[in-house]
Amino acid sequence: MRRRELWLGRRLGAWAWLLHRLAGIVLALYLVVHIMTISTARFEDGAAFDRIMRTFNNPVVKLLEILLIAAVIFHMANGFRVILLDFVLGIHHQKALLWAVMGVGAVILVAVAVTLLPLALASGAR
Amino acid sequence: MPIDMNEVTFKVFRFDPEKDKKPHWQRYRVALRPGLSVLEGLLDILDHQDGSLAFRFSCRGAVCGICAMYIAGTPRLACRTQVAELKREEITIAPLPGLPIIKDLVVDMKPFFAKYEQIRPYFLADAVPGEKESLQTPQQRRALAEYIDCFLCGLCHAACPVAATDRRYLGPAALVKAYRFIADSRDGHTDARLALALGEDGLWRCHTIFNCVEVCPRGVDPTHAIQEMKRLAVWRRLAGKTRP
Amino acid sequence: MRENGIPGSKGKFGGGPAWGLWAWVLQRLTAAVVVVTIIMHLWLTHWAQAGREISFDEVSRRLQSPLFVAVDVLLLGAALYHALYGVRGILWELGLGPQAPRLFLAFYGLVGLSAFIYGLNALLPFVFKISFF
Repeated sequence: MRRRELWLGRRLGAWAWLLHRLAGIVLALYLVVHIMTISTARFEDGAAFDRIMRTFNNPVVKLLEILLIAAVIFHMANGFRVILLDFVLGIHHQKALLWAVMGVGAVILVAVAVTLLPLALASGAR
Repeated sequence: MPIDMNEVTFKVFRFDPEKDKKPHWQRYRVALRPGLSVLEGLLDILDHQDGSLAFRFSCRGAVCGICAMYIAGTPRLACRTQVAELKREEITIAPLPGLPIIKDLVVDMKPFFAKYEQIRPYFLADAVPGEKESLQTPQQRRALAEYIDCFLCGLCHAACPVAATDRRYLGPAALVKAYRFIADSRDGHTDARLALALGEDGLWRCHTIFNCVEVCPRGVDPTHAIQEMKRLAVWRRLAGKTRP
Repeated sequence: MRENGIPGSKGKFGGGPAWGLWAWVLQRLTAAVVVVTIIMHLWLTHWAQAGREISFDEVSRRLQSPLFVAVDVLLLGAALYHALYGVRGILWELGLGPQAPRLFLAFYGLVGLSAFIYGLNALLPFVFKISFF
């Protein structure tokens, strides 16, 4: 008999790892769906593709896309931290490093959302 | 939690494979006194309440690393954990996860030490042994002091989420000891030792989670040692040195 | 030479296959490729279009430029490798999926290659107005 336990506590490194993996899984699934959607271009000289793109042109999908971009930015920001750690840089400051990359990531996300949302809403309203 | 609390509850994991089909929790009231450690609380229970409770300890002073257990949701040494500092009325005490349970809080450390042996934790005899002492400068000694300090209590292994699901992963303690010999100026088998730490169940399973660093009672930084080995392995392979 | 003076260092824990190290390095390199190409990909499809609806003709016009085709193909290949290496690590650590290193290469190589070909085929109609399947 063994006890099983995944120790996360409130340890930042563990949460960064877990969220990195979850974001990675979401992005891998998105990649599959994305390629499948684009594959419709071979039908009806692109008319099927245009139909799908029109269905996607609504606020709900745009919001989901922003969540997707949030996952991309998180994965990128923490991935940057992981690569720094691979060069044994900042290894004794990994928590500060995490806050730093998360801060930069948050700024990029807000910038993306602010520029993307009005465009999305404008095209959705047409 | 009331400030004038004079008693705490120890919620202890109980399992006797000879009698029990399933483990259960047993609660004991323990009188609080200044400086009471979790280990002393367990000894109070053993002496005055329940002689059947099994747990391991030896030095009582964080020198031996034997009383490693899961205390209040974190892997810790029982002798080094002050009850008052936990600031809880009820303290959950369980055996280290991932290892076979012998009885109550006592786990079988064999799988842990089998991993340790895989990295060959000893000096290897060179061509002419015993002719002369192997001298080290103070700096060379300091380079491996941190890794010699590891007393193999197993807390890091218990705290590692990768080791929790992947039973073959060498884990932080074994990899720290692999680096201990690489960092030692007297060893000189760097590439062969890297080869032992490389591979599917070694270095590449570490994802810099840092849980091991958080729990180490000796201030060792296993993640740092592992990252140094990854870097060293890649650079030496690029230079055509480390073979698989 | 004292290299490999440890008996059994090429045995069970002899580092696994030689490509284990390169596979890990490639995971990091593809990460960098994905970062660059995904930014270009997103920029070209969303911002440069200034909110216009994405249509077949629009994308097709853009993909007449070899540079943009190269960006998408690079992104496809790098993202597929990066994703498969990551998913494979997760499965390995949960004790799932092919557990022998050689099977890893065969299984994930096959999955990756077929996904890459499927992805290329999806791009073809935009570039040449044809597709193979």
